Amino acid sequence: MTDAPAPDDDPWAWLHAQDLDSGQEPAAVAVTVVIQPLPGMDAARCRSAVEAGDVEPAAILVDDPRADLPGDWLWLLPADCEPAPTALRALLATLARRPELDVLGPLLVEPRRRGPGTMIRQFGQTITSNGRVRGLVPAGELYQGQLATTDCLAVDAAGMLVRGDVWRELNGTNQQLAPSHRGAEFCWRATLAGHRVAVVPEAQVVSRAEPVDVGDARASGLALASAHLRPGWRWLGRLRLALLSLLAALGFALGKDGERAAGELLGLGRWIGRRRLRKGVAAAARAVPGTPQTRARVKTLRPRPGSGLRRFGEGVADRVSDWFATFTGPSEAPSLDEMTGDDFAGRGRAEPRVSALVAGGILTTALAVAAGRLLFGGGSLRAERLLPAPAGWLDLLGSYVDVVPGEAGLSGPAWTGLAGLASFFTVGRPEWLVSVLLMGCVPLAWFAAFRFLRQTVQSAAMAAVGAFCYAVAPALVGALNTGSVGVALWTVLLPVLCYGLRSWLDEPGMWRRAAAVGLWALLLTALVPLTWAVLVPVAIGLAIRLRSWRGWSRALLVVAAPALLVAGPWRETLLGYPGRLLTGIEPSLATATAPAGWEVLLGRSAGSPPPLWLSIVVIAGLWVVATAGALRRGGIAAAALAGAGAATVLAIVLTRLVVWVPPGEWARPGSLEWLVVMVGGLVLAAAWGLDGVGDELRGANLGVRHVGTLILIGLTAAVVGLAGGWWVVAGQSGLERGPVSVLPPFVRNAQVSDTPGRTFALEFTAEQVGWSLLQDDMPRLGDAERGLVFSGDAEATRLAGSVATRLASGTADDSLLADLRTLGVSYIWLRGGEAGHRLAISNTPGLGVGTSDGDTTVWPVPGSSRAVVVSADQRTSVGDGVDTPPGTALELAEPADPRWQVSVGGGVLSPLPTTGPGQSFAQSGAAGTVGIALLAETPWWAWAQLGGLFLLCLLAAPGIRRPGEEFGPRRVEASAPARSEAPAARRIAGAGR
Amino acid sequence: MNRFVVPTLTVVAVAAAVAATTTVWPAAQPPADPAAADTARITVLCPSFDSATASVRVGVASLGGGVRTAPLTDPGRQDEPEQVSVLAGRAEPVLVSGQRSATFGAVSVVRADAGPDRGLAAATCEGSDTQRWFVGVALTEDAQADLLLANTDSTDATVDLTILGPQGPLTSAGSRGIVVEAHAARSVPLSVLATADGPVSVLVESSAGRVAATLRQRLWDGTDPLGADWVPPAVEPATEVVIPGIAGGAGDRQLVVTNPGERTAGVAVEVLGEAGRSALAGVENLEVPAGATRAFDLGPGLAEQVAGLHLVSEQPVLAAVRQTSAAGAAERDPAWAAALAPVGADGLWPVAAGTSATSVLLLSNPSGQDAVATVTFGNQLGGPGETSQQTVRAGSTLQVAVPEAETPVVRVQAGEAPVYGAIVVTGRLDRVRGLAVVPLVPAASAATEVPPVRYDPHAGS
Repeated sequence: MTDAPAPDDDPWAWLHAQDLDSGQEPAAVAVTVVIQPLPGMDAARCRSAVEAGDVEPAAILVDDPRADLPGDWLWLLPADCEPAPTALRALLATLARRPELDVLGPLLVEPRRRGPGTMIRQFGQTITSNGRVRGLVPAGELYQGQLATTDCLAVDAAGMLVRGDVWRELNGTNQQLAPSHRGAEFCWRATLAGHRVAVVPEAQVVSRAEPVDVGDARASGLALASAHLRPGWRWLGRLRLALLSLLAALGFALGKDGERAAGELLGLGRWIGRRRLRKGVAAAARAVPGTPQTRARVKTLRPRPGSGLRRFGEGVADRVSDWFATFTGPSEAPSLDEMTGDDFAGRGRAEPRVSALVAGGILTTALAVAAGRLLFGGGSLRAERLLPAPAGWLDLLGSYVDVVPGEAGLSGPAWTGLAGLASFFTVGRPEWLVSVLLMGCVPLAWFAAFRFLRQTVQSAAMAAVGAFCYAVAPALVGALNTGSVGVALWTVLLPVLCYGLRSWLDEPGMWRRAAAVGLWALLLTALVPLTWAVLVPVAIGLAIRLRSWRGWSRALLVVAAPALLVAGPWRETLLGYPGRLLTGIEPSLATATAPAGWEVLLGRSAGSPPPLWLSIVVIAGLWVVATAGALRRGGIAAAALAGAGAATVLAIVLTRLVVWVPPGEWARPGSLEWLVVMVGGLVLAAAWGLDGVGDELRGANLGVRHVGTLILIGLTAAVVGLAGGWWVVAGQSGLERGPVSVLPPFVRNAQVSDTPGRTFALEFTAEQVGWSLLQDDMPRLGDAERGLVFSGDAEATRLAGSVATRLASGTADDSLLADLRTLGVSYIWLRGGEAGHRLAISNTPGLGVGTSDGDTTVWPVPGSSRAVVVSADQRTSVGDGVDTPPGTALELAEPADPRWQVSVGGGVLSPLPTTGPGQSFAQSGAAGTVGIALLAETPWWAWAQLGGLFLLCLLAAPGIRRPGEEFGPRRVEASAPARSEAPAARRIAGAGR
Repeated sequence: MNRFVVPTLTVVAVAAAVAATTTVWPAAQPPADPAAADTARITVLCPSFDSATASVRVGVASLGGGVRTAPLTDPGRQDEPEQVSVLAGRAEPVLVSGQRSATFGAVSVVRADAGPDRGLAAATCEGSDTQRWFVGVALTEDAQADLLLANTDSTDATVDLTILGPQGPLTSAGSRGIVVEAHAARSVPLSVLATADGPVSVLVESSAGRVAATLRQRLWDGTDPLGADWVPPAVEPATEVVIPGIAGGAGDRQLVVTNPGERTAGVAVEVLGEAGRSALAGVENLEVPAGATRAFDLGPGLAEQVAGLHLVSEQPVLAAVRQTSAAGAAERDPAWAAALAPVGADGLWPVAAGTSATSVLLLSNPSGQDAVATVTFGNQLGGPGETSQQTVRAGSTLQVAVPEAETPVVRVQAGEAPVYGAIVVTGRLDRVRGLAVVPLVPAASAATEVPPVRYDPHAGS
C-alpha cells in the first residue's frame, strides 16, 4: 500500500493542476481539524498528512466529533483518512468562491497501491426513499478530472468541512448511526435547516475506512428514511420500508447474493429492534422540521421517483450485455480500460465484434422464414412424428402428472412436464413452443453453436460457417421433416451444454457453472436418457483429474442433476420399459424400418432425408474437411473427430436394435440425435483443426498446401450451399399446419361430452388402412408414451387392431358391435376407401345408419360410450357427474385398475369379475349421480421435482454479481479481512465493466 | 502421439461398423405379434336343400384345417370338419367359415337321375354381398327360377330385385323391399314375379344388410323336367368380361349379354379356344340395347370344343353362357357359365360329384401374354396332391383333366397374368348326360380387398 496520490505520480495531474491553478485564493477562515481516533488506527498518520498540507489549520484536535466542538469551521477527519496536501486549500477555495456554503465535502478516493490513476470511493451522497445512501457517481470510477463542485444533499462525515455554528446548532452527527450514514443524517438536517451542502472534487481525501457492517448500514438507512417520513404517512411508510427490505432480501437471495440478502434481513431486524436508534434519529429529524423551501430543496437533491427501477433496469441491461458479449468471442484490440487503467482494470474483455454474429443471425433467421414459408398461420403443426400440441401448458403438465390407468405401469414422460414449464416462455402456448423449436431450430442452433465456436475459434467467419453446418443438421438427417421436436431441441441444447461444460472446466470450483452444466444435462437426458450414460464417465474423469473435494462435489452435482428426472413415477416406467433408455421422445411414433449401416453414416436413418447424392456430398464433404482438420492440428481436433466417429458408431449400433418401449411396443431406437452429434463433432474437428490456416499460409510460398486449402474451401462452400438449399427448399416440407382434427364437430363433442365416448377412425389410403382409437381432445404431443389406444392396455390394443381389420375387410361379424362397446366407441369415422368398404361397414350388425359427407362417413355405435349403465333392456351412456337410471351393472370402458372407484347416488359400487378389457361394477338397481374417479396419491413427487428444478435453475442462473466481481473495490478487498465486509457500493457502481 | 493415429482409427472404426452391419450383423426385427395376425374369418354360404329325388352334397376343403360349418338358421351349432369333407343331406343352406388368411373352399353339387332337379348341378359357395347379378335366367312359362336369399348376419336385410329382360327392365310387384330376417333364408320365385320369352338378368341388391343369394333354375317341358342347375353369379358390369367354362361336346351354347347402362353397347366377342383366339361368324360383333338382355346362339362355331369367351364392349355389360349337355330332351342337362373375376392368388374347390363323374379344369387367358398357374389336384383323403405348372397360352383356353376321385379337390394358384377358370363336371345319370360348371371363385373373394391395416396415430387428424 502506498501513500496518498502525489501529483508527480499522477499522469492526470495536469487536469488537477489546471483546476487548482485556476482557482482563487482560499477563504480566510479559521479551520479546526478534528481527527477522530479510531481503534487500531494511528491518528498521527492523518495528522501528519494534515500538517503537510499547503494550508495551515488554526488548530488540530484529536477528539471525538462532539456536538460542542469549538471553532469557526470544523474539518472532521477520522483517523483512517488521509487528506491530500491540497485538500483543505481546495475546500477553502470553493468556500471563498461560494461563501454561502455551510458544509463541504471532499472527494473520497481509494488508497492507491501502484500504477497511475485515482479511483473514486465516494463523491457526495444522496438518500433514496428506501433509505439507501448512494454516491453521486458510481464508486470505483477513475477520477480523471471529470467532476466539478456540486451541490448535494449530503457528504460523508469523513473529510466534511462544516461551519462550527451549524455543527453546534444541529448537535453534530448521531453516533448511533453507522459511520457511513452519519454525514448523510447530519447534512439532511442541515439542508432542512436552510444550510447549503456541496462536494468539492479537487479536495481529495484517501479513505481507508473498513467496510461497515451491512446490517448496521441498512438499519441506519431505514432509521434515517423513516425519521424523515411525512407526518400521517409514517406507519404506512415504515410498512413500505419493511416490505421493500423483505423484497430486496428475496431478490438478493434469488440473485445468489446471500451476504446482501442476510444484510437486508439483519438491517431490518436491527431497525425494528433498536428502538433507541429509531427514536434518536427521529427526534433529531423532528427538531428540524424545515420550511417548504428547504423541504423542496431536499426533494430536488434526492433521487427522483423510479430511480430504483431505473437502476434495476440498467443492471439487467448490463447482464444482457454481458451475455451478448459471450457471442462475440475474444478481441485482439485493447480495451479502454486496458489502455488507461491500472491493474484493477479488467483485461481481455470482449469487444463486441458483431459483424459475423449479426450477419449470420439475420441470414439464418431469414432462411428460416423462407423454409417455413408454408407453416405460418393458425392451427397446429403436425408431421409424421409430431402430434398436435395441447391447447395449454397445463394440459402438457397434466400429461406428465396425471396417473395413467391400467396395469401397464405407464406414466407420463418427464420431458412433457419440462415442456409444460417451458411453455411459459411462449405465453403458456405449447403450440407456439413447438413452432419456435421446429421452425426456429436452425437459427437457434446457429446462435448457440456460434457462441460456443466463437469462444474456441479465432476466426469469426469460420465460427459462423461451422455453426451453420451444425445448425442445419436436423434438416440434413430428416428430423425436421418428420417433426422430431426432440431432435430439434437436442440440436439447440447441445452447444449450450458444450459452452457450459467449457466454462465449468475453466473454473471447476464454481457451483453456478457446475449447476448450469447439470441443468443442461438434465434437459438433454429428458430428451435422450442415454445422455446420462455418456455424461457420467466424463464427470467422473473430470473429478478424478481435479483431485479436490471442490471438484468432486461439483462433478457430483452435474452427475446427480439428471437424477431429478427419475424422482417421479417415470422411474417405474423406465424400469418396466428399459428400452426407452436408448430412444428419444415418443419412440412409438418412429418408424421401425432398419436403415443400412452406410445409410446411417450418410445421415439417412429415418424420416425424409435429402436425395442420396446430396447426402453423399454434404456428409462425405464434412468427413473430408473434418479429417483434414484433425490431421492438420491433431489434439483436440482429432478428439472431436473421434467423437464424431463414436457418435456414428453408436447411431449405427442403435439402428440394429429393437427395444420394448412405452406403451408396450417394439420400436427401433432413433439415431437422429446421435447423427446430430456426429455432424457437431465433424464441425468441431474441422473448425478447430483448420482455424488459422489462412494466416499460416499468408506468408508462405504458393504450394500444395494452398491448393489443398482451396479445395477444402470449395468443398465447404458446396456443403454449406447444398445443406442450406435443401433446408430451405424441402427440409421442412414434411411439416404441415392445420386443424387438430378433421372429425365432424358432433363426433368431437361426443369425445369430450359429459358422457364421453371414443371414436374409431379408419383412413383408407393406397398403401394402408390406418386406424386409431380417439378419445378426449384427440392425441396430443406427449400422449404417445402414455398410450394412445385405451391408455396402453395391451389387450384392448389387440382388440382394437382386430376390430380395425374386421371393419376394413368387411367381415361384419356379429361380435363387432360387442367389441366396439368394449372399447367404448361411440362413433366409427371413415375417410377414403371405396363404396364397397363403406357398404361392408354399414352391414355390421347393430351399427347405426351411417351418414356421409363427401369423402367421410360416420356410423354411430348405439349404446356405447366409455361408461354405460346396463339394464335388462337398454344401455344408457353415463359419465362422471351424470344422473343414471337404475341398472344392473355399470360397464367402464377403461383399462382395468383397482384404483377405479365408481359410485352411484353416493354408494360405491363393487367391481365385478370381467374378462377382456374394461371393468364392470355391480349397480344392483341403484340410481342417482354417477361418480367415476381414479384414486391416486397426491403427486408430491412433482412438487419435489419442481422444487429441485427450481433450486437447480437458481443455482445455474447468473448471479447479481458478475463473474469475478467481488463485493467491494479490489483495493478494499485486498485490505479487508473478509469479503463479507466489503461495501455494497462497488457492485452498484458496475465496476469491472 | 502421432497426429495421424486418431483420425485413422476413427475412420477405420466407422468403416468397420458399416461393414459389420452390412455383412454379419443384420438389424433385429420386432418379434411378430401373434395377436396381430389376421384373425378375421370369412363366411360363405353353400346352397343345400332337401329333395326326395336328388342328393345334395357340399364339399368342404381347407389347407390346414380351421374351417367351421353350421346350418344357416343355427350358426351356433358349428362343426369343424376335416381338411376335406363332404356334408350330405343338409336340408338348409350351410355356412362354411374359415380364416381369411387361410385357403379354403366349398362347392355344392346336386345329382339326380330324374325329377325336377334332374342332372348334375354345381355351385361355388360364396359370401354375402350387397349386390349380385345373375345372367341368363329363364323366366318362361316352362321355367322355374327360385332365388334363395340367405341372411348370414344377425340383422335383418332388405333386398330389391331388378330384372332386365329382352326389351328392357321388367316391372314386377313384390320385387322391392324384400325383408330377409337374420340367420334365415327366403325363397323368391322369380317366375311368379315376371315372365319373359327370352333370358333375363336379375340384379339382387340390398338396401339394408346383405345377403348371400343363389338362384336355382329348373326347366320343364310341360310337366317333364328338363334339368336343373344353379345360375352362378356374374361379375359386375364391365367393359371387358371373360366367360370361362364352356364345355365341349354336344348341346346348345347360347351367349347372354345384358347391358345395364343407358346407352347401346357394341360388344366384340372372341373365342378363347384350345388352339387360340378366334371369332365366331355372326356373333363377332353384337349390339345390346340399353337396359336389355339379349341372347345369341353360338351355333356350331365352337365345334363342340371347350372354350372361353372374351367380350369387349364400349359400355359395361354382363354376360353368361347357357349350355346343355345334349340336344335330346331326355338326355340334356342345362348348365350356366358366367363371366367371372380372375382366379386369384389361391383357391380351393372340392367337387363332391363322385367317382362316376368326370371333371375337367378349364383355364382361359384373354391377355396377350402366356399365363402360368400352379394347379394341384387332391382328393378326399386330404393328401398333398399332385402339383403341376400349367401354362395357358395367350388368347387360349387350357383343358386339364382332373384325376378321378370321390371328391376331387382342385387348387389353382394363378401367377401375375390373369387367368379365368371353371371346372366342367360331366357324368351319366341314367339316361341323362349330366353337366355342371363350377365357377372358380375363391372363398377369399368374399372378403373385401383391403391394403394392410395398421395403427396410425394420425388417423382422424
